[in-house]
Amino acid sequence: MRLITLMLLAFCIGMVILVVKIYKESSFYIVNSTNAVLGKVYDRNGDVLFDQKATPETYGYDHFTDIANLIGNDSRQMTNTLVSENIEFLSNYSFSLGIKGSDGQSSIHTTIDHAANKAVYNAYGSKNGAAIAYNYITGEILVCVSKPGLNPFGGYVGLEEGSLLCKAFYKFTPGSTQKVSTLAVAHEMYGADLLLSKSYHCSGGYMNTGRTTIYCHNRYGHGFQNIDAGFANSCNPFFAQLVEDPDFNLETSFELLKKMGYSVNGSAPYRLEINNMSVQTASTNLTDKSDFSTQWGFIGQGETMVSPCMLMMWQSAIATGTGKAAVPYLIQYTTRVDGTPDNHAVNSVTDEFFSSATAAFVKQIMLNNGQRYTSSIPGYTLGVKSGTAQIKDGAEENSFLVGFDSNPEHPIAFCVLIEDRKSGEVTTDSIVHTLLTNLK
Amino acid sequence: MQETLSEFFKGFSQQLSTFKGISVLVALLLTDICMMVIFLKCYSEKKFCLKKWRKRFGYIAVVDDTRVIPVENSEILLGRHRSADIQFPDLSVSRYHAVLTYSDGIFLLDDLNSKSGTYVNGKRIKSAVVKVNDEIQLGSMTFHLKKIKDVENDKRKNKA
Amino acid sequence: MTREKTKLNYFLVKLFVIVTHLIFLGAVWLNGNYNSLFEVIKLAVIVIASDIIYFVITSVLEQDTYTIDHLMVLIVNIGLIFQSCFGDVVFNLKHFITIVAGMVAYHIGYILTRNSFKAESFKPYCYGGVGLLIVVILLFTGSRSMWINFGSFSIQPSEFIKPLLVFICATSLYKQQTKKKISIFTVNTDTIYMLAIAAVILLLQWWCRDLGSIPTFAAVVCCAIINRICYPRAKLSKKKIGIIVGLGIVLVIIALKLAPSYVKDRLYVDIWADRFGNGYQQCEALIGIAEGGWLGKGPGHGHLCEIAAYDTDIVFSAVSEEWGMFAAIMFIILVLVMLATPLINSPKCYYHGNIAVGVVAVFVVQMSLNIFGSCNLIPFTGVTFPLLSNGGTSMVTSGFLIGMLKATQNPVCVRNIIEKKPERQVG
Repeated sequence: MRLITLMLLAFCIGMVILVVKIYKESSFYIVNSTNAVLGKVYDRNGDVLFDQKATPETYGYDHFTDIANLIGNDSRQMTNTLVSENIEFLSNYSFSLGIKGSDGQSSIHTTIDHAANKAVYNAYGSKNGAAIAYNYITGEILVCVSKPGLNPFGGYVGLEEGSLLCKAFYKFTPGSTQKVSTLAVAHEMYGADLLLSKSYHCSGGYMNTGRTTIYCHNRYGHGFQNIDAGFANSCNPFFAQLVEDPDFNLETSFELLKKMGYSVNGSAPYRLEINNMSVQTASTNLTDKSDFSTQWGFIGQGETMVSPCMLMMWQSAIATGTGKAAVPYLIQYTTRVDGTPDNHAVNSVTDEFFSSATAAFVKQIMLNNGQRYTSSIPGYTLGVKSGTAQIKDGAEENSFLVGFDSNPEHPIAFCVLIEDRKSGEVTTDSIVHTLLTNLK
Repeated sequence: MQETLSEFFKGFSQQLSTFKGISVLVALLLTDICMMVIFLKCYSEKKFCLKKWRKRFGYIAVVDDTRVIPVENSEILLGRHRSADIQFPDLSVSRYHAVLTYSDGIFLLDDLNSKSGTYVNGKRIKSAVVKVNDEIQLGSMTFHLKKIKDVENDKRKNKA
Repeated sequence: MTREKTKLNYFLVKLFVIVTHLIFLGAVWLNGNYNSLFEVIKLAVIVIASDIIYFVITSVLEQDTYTIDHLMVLIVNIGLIFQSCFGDVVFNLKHFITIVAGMVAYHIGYILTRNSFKAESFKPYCYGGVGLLIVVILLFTGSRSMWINFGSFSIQPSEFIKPLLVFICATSLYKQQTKKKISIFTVNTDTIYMLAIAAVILLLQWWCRDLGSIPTFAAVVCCAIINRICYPRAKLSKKKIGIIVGLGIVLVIIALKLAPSYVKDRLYVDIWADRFGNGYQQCEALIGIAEGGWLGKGPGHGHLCEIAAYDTDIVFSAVSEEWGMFAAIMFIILVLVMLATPLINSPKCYYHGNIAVGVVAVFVVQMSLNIFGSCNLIPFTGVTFPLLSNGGTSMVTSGFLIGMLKATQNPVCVRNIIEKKPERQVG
């Protein structure tokens, strides 16, 4: 008799588990149904970013081109996009209410500013690249462009490479923008006084102890420079000598880089997810400080890889002066099927990337550097670092500009990337200018 | 995404306000009631059965003239083990000593290869029919089977 | 005692069963998706008529308890209504025929089992029957199939092994305690036979790749073993439970380690990743449940009838979709209640207790495999849902098993061991 009771009980427990599971996951099941009518995605001003039933007539042919590779769709072909990873919020369904068609009110309200996003997208002209900007205090992502874009009305055939993903979330060689990290590492290791006392000579090239030469972009050299000038000149020999300095402890730098979120020599990187979308962060391979590739890594070439999103987050840590970055997010809030708001975004900060003293020091140096941009980006007090990354063995050059607006009423950190830029073409400065002007 | 409580009530009342919802729910309720009625009947059946069983197979086992155990199953295990139906806490009785089987007004006693053997009215048996008031001996323990009616009559007689 | 009270009055119960069916039919009439009212009336007439005919038959039979009869009629005819409503409301003649066959099997099962001594004397025939079925399976079905086709009919011979195995696993107290000495070991020959035949059956099922049946057989045998290890009504000591659970876990781990890769593949399946491939049935089943909600879309309005095996393997989802989750759960509760009747009216002898445990084991395992399998809690095996799935073999064996369960409630104690034939008494 006990056995019968036991079996019946076991079955009942199983049933309860089943019912709870189905009840909880039913909205996930329903988005796979052909009867499902998905809700819409809006930007911060109520502009529609995703509509399952969109037609060129209702929205205009190019309405979604600048944002579609971030927002994605429900086809299950575009993974790691906002809609595909958060499709349950759009299900227009609840177990008790059943499927609601056009009268369902499920939606996602994002933090994106579609007008600004479109302006930045158009500013790229014929060039490809990525631009991401967010409010470095709250974490709202305002602009997230990845070019080539995707026109959902154009069908999904004959697509350009990279048009189906958001490049800001994937790693690139950062070029000289890496020097911000190297500067932060050096300050954490030395402190301000010792670091300011260091000065190295640049004669257009520097032969390191490993008998390889690191060239400067200025063939005639910069002469003797301190850290401020070395950073402003983005002088490669300066940073190579900084790394080779007897006071520079490589082991300590590994720990400091890991704290900043790097995966050093295969260690676990900083894990970042923006509304269930996974974002690559940063990685580097460093061996010996007299080694060319290690020095090259600290300068931002070679094996160092950083995603634009991560570059932007370090700007947040610098601009706030705390060493902690605001965690970026895209979903401001969602609405349930009956229209009640839900899932309000929570502002949060990351763990400390570096100390607040370092943040303040780097901020000052970047602000100093930013004064050189008053002509190309007029009207803003910016902390800026540019960078040029050589890829494909120097055949192409990616142009970067990272920075922040120090105006507390306009707290924007940004990272702009133009791929395969040649002189005479659109500059990162002009894109940043477009970006900041449109976000005002 | 799990639904909220308010959505649950809202959705439920919405479904109930339709004719469809009501009819299904009524059907379910009635199934419930039906189940309950059947179950109540089942309990009364049980009581009724027990009465019938007592009336027909109203036997008891009297161990050593002191312990009285009602016989309510058609198979009874006799032995020292605590899982036996009639326990004999004596080392001369095997753990599983014998099985008493009731069928059709007749008790059959089967010995389970016990060490000390099973005796009915003094005769060692392997398998034998047992009648009411026979003396059954397991090891050093003895017991009798009696009819409830007779016992009650005896009591009445004694009182009288 | 007075003579009048020899029978209880069952009119109210019967009335309630019929009214419940009427309400269900009313729901079909009001919400159903049907072409002509004639189909609904046809269904109603057949359901109610079969109710009444059955009640007339039972009132002739003399039994201690009619609980299972009433529940059986209730369940089976609700099942008929469910089956008739998939897609659109059309009286499902095939299911009705299987129900009739099931009810006949139900009575055969009852009559064969109600005398525990007689039933036990059938045991050699059961071994013979299993042997015969095994031969049939080996001869007529291939290594990867479990069906024999006779024209438009197909039979699954392995289903019939289930009641036979329950018979084989049951034992009387006397038999269980009888031990024989073989060389140095003192063993119970009955247990040895049982284990041997169980091993043969399991091997056969493995060979047939009928993975769905293996848990059912294993559960029956396990219950029998537990019954035999823990003597009647003994408290399960903690030590014993520990040992059994431990052994079970070790066995499962070994089985998982040794299992070939294609079995492993079946154990870990992300159905949503294979939405339109192997996971299609289950995905649609889950979507169907989700679309049905609590109270369903209404009889005949479901879409699951377009999916393969909608009336057998994913029948739980199909009912959920049309009648709502509440109704599907209600149906399961009804079956569970029927299985729980031995708890209220405990069997009078050990053999019948064994039978009841075996029957419950078969039903519980089958139902869990069906429901949890189609809802992706455990691998999908394609086992039928007893008493609801549309399938002749399944219905007949389920009916037979329930008949056995009923017999445990209405035992007859006759044993022809004495020369003088005793006067027959119906218990």
